[in-house]
Amino acid sequence: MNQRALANTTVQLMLLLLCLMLSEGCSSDSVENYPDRPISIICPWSVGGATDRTSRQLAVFLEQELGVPVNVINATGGRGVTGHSRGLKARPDGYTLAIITGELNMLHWQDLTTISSRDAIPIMSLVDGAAAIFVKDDSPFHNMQELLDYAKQNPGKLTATGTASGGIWHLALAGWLDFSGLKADDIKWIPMNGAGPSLQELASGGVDLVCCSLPEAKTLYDSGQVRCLGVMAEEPLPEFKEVPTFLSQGMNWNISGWNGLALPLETPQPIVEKVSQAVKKITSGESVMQGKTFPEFMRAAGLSTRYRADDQFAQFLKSNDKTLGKLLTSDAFRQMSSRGTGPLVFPGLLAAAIGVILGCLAFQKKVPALAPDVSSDTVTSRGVVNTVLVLLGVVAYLLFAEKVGFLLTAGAILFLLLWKFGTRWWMSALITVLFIPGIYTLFAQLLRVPLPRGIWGW
Amino acid sequence: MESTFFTALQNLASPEVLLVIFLSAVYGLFVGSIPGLTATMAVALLIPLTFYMDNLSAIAAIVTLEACSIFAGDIPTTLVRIPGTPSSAAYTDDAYSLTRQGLHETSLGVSLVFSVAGGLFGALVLILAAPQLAKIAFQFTTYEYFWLYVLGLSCAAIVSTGSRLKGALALMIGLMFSTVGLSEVHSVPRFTFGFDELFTGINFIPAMIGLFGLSEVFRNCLTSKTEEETGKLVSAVIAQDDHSLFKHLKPVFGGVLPQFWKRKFSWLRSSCIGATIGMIPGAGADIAAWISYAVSKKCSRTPEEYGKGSLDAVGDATSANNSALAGAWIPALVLGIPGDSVTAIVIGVLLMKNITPGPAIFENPDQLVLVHGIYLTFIVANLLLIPLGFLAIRSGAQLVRVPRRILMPIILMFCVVGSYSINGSYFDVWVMLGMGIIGFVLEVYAIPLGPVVLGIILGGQLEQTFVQNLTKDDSFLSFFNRPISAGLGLFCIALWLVPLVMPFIRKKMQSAT
Repeated sequence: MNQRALANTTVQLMLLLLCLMLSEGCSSDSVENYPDRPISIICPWSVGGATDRTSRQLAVFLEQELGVPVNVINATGGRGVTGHSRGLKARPDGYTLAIITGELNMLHWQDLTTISSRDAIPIMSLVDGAAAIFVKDDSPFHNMQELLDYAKQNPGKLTATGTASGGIWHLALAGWLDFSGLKADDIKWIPMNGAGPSLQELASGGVDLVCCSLPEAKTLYDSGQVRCLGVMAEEPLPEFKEVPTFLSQGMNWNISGWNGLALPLETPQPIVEKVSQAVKKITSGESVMQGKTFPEFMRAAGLSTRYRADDQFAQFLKSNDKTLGKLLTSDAFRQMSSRGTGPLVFPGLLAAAIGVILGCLAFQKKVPALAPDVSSDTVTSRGVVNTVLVLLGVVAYLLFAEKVGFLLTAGAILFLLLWKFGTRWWMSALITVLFIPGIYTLFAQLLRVPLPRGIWGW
Repeated sequence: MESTFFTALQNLASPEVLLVIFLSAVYGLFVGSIPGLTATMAVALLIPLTFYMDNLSAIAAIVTLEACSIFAGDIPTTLVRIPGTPSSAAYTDDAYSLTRQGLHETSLGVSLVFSVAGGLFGALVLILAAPQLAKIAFQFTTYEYFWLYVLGLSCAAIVSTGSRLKGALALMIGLMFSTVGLSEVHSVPRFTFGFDELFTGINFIPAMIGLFGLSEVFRNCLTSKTEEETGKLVSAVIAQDDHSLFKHLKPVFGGVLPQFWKRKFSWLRSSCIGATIGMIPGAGADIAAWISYAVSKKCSRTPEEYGKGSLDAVGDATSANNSALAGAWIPALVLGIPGDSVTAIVIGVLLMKNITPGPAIFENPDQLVLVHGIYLTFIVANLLLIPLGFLAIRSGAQLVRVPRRILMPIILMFCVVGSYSINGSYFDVWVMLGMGIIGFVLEVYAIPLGPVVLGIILGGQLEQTFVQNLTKDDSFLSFFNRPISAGLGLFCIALWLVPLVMPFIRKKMQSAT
């Protein structure tokens, strides 16, 4: 293999790839043509939850309005830090939309991230679910006053859950206790990963009460396995008219969890307007799909909504941030977060166990047995070179894929590896040309899993 | 009962529904066999389409998709040692060892038949005992979950090949990895070293692809052999001079029926384990496969073969993970509580269609028809899996004939794309790369990789229940407060103590006689 042949191949490869891209339709990032390629919505919570359901419902309608595929990516974990940062720190070209939730106004108060609602261009608020208190069907409590009296007389006896420590529902309960003149930890909070597992824990008798929104508890509530003592809203919810509000029980305490759509800062104004118009059309019920509008779909799913557009949403974000910040920085809440089993207890136990095991292994005096097929006899110098090439290949992908795009990066890496491993150059080129566009079509087109697009959009 | 059942049968037999089932089966096989795309993700991608379908088609699509993709996960597991879905991780080494002996088609044949049989058993459990069984699963609180996770993790360490100490070490390493990131219970970041991406922790899908897949690429490249040796991976079962009509059926199904007959009781046991584990919310097909594998090894007459290519192991574990799927629908339908991540989506879809899962759907005649439709779909989907799975195996089996110098770069590409696509994050590709190196090093020291993966998967939940239990009550004795938790707890402790104490007892017995 000489240099010229290699150069030839590279040129041929480029030409082929070029043809391929042309056939797929050249794309440019101009504002006027927006949108001309698939859009991703970043949802910070996992598949199946209320926020995910909202995102997917919205995606279907947006797809109809904007005329390009709209995919939902669940960037979960880190209590929402991951998803919010991914959505709001994305390239501000309008091809990444962010779903934001109440946590955006909490995480920065808790020093978990620097991202806040100031990093978002608010488009539309969607779900607004007021917190509610649930007990098991055989619980002795029938209204909030009974619960409050019991908690007053037996501080620290009751247990509650609904989300992780410091989550929105925890905040709702602790805030209510504080508001009623009790200590915020007079009802013990058991941290749980979401409302679903919390309700299961309630139904199996593991905790005394759960604080979460009504739609999240809909299935268990409708079947009568849990009862709702009150909802922290000013007026009864239209879907759950029979549930009394806190206000009607003499407690003026309202708090809710919400989500909405936003764009990263610095998104060009025309694009912001285009998205905003599309979303307004969807939430006003103008756009119809399968004979149903978006608000109708949301109602069917039992999700309470409150549509606030642009400036209204921005104002709400500001005031919500203030309310939550005041709660989170209050003494009552601060004291509470710093007790219980510390974060290093479990890793500490593990480290101790690893130490003991390593000690035992040393004590056994068994020299670590090597795997039979990797030894000085089988490892060749060419093998070492090949392994290093594989390593470099992955690193090269990581460095270049975002800029150059999937097709070129992966194509170059695959071709070079095949060729270096001893396949003839034309065979390597053939495999590359067949395989890389194939995998791209499979993932990006058929399965709708986005691959790196690069600055040229492919 | 009778009439709704026949209505359900009629509904299911309509051409549209059957077409949906067929297409979902193909889609499921496809997605399941691509590493990095899980059954959950496939179902999530299907949701927008379900809006356009009637209720039965929507649910039938999900059921079929799920059943087929869990089986399809075995195909890359067997052929290239990358688990297609996490549920296949338990028997990766067994299945891949069989491939190296040229028995990949037999191994996949066993996977297929046992998967179908397990799936059918699970469906039967769902049909006959759903409401009664759901009540048991409903007794689980954080105490029971804690012991359940300990049990699952112990199984992984105990069944691992070679030294049990190394199995335990691998488990601890996996658990250690799971503590990286923002602790869900404390909301405190740990071991993130200033990387925002590490807040999420280490995602187990790229970790799994790296540990099993990339490390295998490294090992193959490092010990690159000559051309003659690499060409060896051809079917050892198929005879060259065989020209009969059944030539292609033989390697896949040839040895399976006698194997199935021989193992009928262990199949029954594994399927029971699968359905039971699946029914418990939060524990799904992956844990079911591990526990069933452990039990299978304990009961086996040839435990030394486990991990080195045991067909029994593959069969038992695959029946359990497929049977767990139907099990997970039990709490979802009866109580409205998802048994696993797929049924969590199903509940969302049902709510969207104005059906609230819970005891009430068994009383409303219209909805009961749908429930019976779900039962029937489970059966149809599993039966459809036999011919479609066979085709998938035959086409997948061509892979092993490709020389390694071509196969390895392509597998590398799948590792990279698979780990990227799960979240669309470059960081996951770094994780995959790091885990590939770690996996390679661990294997050189003969430390098993399976427990590492399970440690990463279950570590977070284990810690969470551990902290929850201690928040409820400071004393460790509270872990044994409830009847089920006490039973599970004592069982776990016995599991670890018996092998430690056994040698001493044996010695005493010998000196006494």
